[in-house]
Amino acid sequence: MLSYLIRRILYAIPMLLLVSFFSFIVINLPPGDYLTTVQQQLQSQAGMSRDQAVAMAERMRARYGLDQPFVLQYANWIGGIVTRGDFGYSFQHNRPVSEVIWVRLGWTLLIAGLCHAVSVIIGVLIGIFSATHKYSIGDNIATVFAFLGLSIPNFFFALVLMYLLAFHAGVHVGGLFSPEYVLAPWGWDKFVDLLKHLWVPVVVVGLAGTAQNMRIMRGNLMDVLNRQYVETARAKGLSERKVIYKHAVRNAIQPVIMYMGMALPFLIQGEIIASIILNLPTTGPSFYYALVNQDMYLAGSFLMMIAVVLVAGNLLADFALAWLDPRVRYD
Amino acid sequence: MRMWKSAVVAVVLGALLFSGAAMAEDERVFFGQFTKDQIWTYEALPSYNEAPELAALVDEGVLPPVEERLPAYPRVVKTNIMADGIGEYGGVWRDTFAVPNEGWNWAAGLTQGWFGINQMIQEALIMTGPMWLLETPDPLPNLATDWEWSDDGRTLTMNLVQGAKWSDGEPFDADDVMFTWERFILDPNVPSWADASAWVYDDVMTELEKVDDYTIRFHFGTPYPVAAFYNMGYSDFSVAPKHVYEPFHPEVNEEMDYDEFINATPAHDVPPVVLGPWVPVQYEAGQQLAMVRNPYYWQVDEEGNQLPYLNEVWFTEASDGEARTMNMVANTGDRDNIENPAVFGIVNRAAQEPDAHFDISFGPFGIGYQMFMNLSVNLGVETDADLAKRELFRDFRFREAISRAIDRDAAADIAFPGPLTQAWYGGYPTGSAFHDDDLVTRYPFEPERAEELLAELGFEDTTGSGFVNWPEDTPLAGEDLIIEMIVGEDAAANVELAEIIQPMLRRVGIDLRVRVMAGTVVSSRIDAGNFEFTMNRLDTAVPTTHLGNFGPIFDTSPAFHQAGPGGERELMPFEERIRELMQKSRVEPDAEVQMDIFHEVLELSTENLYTIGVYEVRRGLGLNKRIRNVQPDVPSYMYNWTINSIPVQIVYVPQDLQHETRFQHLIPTAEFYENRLWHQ
Amino acid sequence: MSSNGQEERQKKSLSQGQLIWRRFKRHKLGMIGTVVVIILATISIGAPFFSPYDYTEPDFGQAYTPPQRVRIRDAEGNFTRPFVYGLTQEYDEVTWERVYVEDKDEKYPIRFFTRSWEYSVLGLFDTDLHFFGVDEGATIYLVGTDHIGRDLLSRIIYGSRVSLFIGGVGALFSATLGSFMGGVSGYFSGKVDMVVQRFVELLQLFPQLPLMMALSAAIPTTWPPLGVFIGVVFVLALVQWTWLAREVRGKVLSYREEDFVLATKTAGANDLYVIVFHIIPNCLSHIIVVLTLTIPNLILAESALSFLGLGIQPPMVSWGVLLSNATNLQTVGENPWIMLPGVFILVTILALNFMGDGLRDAADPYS
Repeated sequence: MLSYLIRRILYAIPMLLLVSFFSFIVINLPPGDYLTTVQQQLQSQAGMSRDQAVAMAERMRARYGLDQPFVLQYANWIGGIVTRGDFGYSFQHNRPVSEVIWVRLGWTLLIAGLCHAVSVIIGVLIGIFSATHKYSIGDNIATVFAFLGLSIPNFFFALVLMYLLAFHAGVHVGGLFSPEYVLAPWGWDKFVDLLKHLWVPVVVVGLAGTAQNMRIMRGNLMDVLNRQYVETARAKGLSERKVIYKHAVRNAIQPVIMYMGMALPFLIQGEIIASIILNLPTTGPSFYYALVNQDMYLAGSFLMMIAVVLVAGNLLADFALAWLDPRVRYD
Repeated sequence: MRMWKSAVVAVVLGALLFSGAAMAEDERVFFGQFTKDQIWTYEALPSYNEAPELAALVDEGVLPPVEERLPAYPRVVKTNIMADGIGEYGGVWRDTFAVPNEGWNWAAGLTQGWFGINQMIQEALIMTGPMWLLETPDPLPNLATDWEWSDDGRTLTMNLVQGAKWSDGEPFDADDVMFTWERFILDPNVPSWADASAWVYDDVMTELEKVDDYTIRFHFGTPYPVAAFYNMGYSDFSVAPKHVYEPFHPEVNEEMDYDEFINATPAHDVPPVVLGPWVPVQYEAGQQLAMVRNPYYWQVDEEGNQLPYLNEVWFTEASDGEARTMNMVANTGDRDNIENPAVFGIVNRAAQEPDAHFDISFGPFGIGYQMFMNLSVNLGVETDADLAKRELFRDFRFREAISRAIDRDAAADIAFPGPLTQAWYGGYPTGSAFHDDDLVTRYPFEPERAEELLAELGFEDTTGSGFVNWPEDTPLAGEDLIIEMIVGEDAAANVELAEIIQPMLRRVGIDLRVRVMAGTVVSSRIDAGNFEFTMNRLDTAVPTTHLGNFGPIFDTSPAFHQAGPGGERELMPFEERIRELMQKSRVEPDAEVQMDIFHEVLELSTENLYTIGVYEVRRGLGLNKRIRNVQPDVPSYMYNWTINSIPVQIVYVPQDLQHETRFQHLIPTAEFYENRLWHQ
Repeated sequence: MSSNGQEERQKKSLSQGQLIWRRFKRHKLGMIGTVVVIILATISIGAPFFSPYDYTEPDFGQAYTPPQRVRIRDAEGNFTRPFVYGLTQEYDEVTWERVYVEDKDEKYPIRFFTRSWEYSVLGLFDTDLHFFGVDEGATIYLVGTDHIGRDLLSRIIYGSRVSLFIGGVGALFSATLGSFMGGVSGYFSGKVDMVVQRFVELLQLFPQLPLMMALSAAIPTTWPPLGVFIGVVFVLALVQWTWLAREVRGKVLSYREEDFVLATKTAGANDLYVIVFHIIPNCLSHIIVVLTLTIPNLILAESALSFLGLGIQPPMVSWGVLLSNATNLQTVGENPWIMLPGVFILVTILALNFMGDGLRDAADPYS
């Protein structure tokens, strides 16, 4: 197993390098660069006329190093990461990339982790119920609900929910706190305010995940319940409860585990549009705007982070699979 | 029966709506009513008062008494411009912003987040925002209290406010102005908002001289370059505190470089040193910026109360524009600029709910949507086909054909079915002070005429495709007339308008292809002159400050007729005339002559269809009902945004409606400014 | 005697396929689902015939018309043939909204197999026959119109072509490729597994969003919307199959040691045969479930792309485009019928899912 692990890591390194280079190219492919965004902002926000904005953007070019050849920019950036752990500079935020990402990472992990946990737990439980009460009314309702969750784009759902809350319930929407609590010190009130805001992203983002897990769990469990070893377990006199949870579920839950490998990168870049609409201080919106504004070191760093996390996630999932199912061997 | 009653109601309400300015019950007019002295003066008053929180700090001995904090002759803001009169201390203003704060060194070109933040902490030599209140628009004194031209018009002597102090108690004087001039504006290594080239008149660089602590003198290369005033305002000449930034300048301190100079005061380094009414005291990136009143603010009201009235300002950071609208509706935000016709209906409906917390009002027509056609034969021309198209666009008959093909009333109606949008024929939005209806030439909707004109130009449908074809002697002979219009996907109104115009042009035989792309891509292509048609939103109603939007005054303007590499450009005769007029306007001190100049520009522009205007929109403002002293007819953007147009330091909230403040313990006293990098 | 006996035995046993069909027929929901899918497919293929309006044609005077009510009772309460009232547009000064008022004096019966706008069938011949419509001067907006007066029902019908194609073909492609690659990877394990999985990972690491942004900026105007569409399907499906591949691989890693595999190999089957005919069928139920999940995923992914301004270009329309157009405050607050394409997506997906359920139950050797 150890040699397998080492081999995986060794393969990962050239792949990550390749991905980083390709990402860098793709980010810079559309015409223009970060200064184009600056120029637009100067006109719309600073009320500059076009010629003033163009001139000012030109003056900033050297400051951002955007007058250098592309390969040099890439080499400097990768060199910085490898030797100093320096992920470069974010043009938009005017601070180091690592700061920009770090500040948002905490909330991202919390929200995405919560969504994921909720969607797995609820999804699996409903899936088990559905499979054991196959084609009953309860199962059919759960099915319709599941597909409702899967058919509605979550950004659309986010907007509808926000609209209802803001226009009809008069509740502050968006972000994680009401304006009076954002910078307040932690306390019971602030915690309650957080909960009042947190349920919206969890519902919106968790809905599709719950539905998906539910369907998969149901399908797999229905299969497993038909297998011979389940009949055998029943014949042996085990309680139905034990049959289901100790034997059937353990086998049926495999694909859900495999799916978790994918969840980690999702944590960082997942549900970008919904996060933008909901004004969450997470990495998703930051990543999107970095791409749109061609804030290239920030965007490139995000892509690298996602790549690393994805590789790690797959590795973890593979290990989990081997641990859960003794029949699995990788060599 | 019910129909009859609702018809009467409709007529009455319609009359109110059509009566011009505001939807609110307040019918008072502030627009163009005052002289400069009726807005504010600089004088000493017999006694002064301050906010109770500051008085408490004075009692504790951590702040000097108010008389010592104010200048000898503070600015006295007249009650004339206060819609509800002298205000009450206390309360919070809750707002939203969506651009990251880059740091506090505004003079080095960093933004603090826009959306009103910049205007709340920066102060410049003159102020343009409240110019809409003046009978005759002219720059208003700010840090410069008055000025005088020499007889030959080449020298301008300005007096500065005496005894004003920065928020850390250090004095403000001509040294700060000189430092801003020399180390920011003139220094080519510092990306200030306006740089040295903006100050060149008649090929002579302007000079600035310090006469004494409170007097400065400009020396110009040409008589009366009045355009220079517009370089002395917000952003272009927002004064930076010398005592903060001097230690960081590389020419003063050898250990520093320009990067450290520009980033000497990063966003988390609070409180910064400001002259504005509020001081930022806490900032959580991506979340919120909190500001409290500046104890050293140099303005008072007529009764001697030190401004501002409001205790705190909270700016929540969002990533999406709709957040501000939703916050206003949900009563967690205090204002919104209502400019998107698509939401007029729902915002209005929300405002009419019995328990609504906000009011909306609409000002004059201030936003215009127009079509640009690329008129350049020098820039972005790569093939014969490109050249053929540009020359076609330059032919007036073609532009007229386009104008005749567009049903402007339908477009305005689709954007919004009521009277807040209307057909527009280019030039300036009709709410502009420089607009004159008699001078606008209109080429309204007449599709048959459009088809006639196309036929005159030699375009006929010879292939039966439904589109007209290029004439025989052109590079694209026999092919359909295909024109590409690029639109940024971030400008929803532009995209919608392009979608509406496409079938209108198809009906007269032009195959208009609409390409929706990322906003930055569209911007790049326009910069490179690499486009045929595009939709543009005209945001400014004041040509004097934005010459480049209306004529070929610089190489890079207007966007649809830029000079090629090397500066070549073939201007059409009317463009030559517009340029001549604009150059004249920059050195014309007489406001009436200025008005005539821009009237002629309007005439030439609309007569020759320089751009194809389609429809215009009234600018709206949504305000929480608690807010007082905002004039009912304040434009949300004319010379500057609302914050500077009121101006915001006179806003207040009655005590019984005030929200609880949370940051008063952070009011900056001397100890907040100790141990800072730049503190001596 | 033996040949007769054999013949008899052959006559009495049904083939595997016939058995599955029999079991499928008994699954009520599955049958309903299949019927709905067939109806949808028919309407989609015959889109011009079933659409009362040309989906690209705007009518500026009819912007934001709410869905019209089809009535079967007239003013006196008697049953008549289905009809609609004429509409006039008014402006409400108080709410600032357009109001469409029914004019009870104008009754327009709904006609079937009527003549209206022209279209060409497979490029072979032109016709103007439509399933239903109304007379000149009347309107039949069953689902209302959008901001420039285009009939939403016609746009939904034409949109179904694109969405069903993306969902169906994309899902089938990803299911086939995914199960095969996953099966191969898991069955052989070891080196083969390592190589295939690294390739799969590489595809997953592909920066999809920036690539879509770059592509949409680079596409020349002269490209027809169809070309862009194919590009979108390609990019979406390219990565989708990798997830199924990993899941199938997981399952297969478990199965490969099972007795039935050993038995088949002993009987002389080669590896390919074992993978395709024995291992994959065991994963079939999971594959079908994932298939029914992939279809909505692809439709929604396309919707997200449209929302960001990438993806399908006008005048092409898809359900994803319609939904992304509906994602704004004024639709939710003022013109909610614009959200109805979502209902069509839901119904289609439910139907496909129940059909899949039926298939899975019928094909499962153990049920």
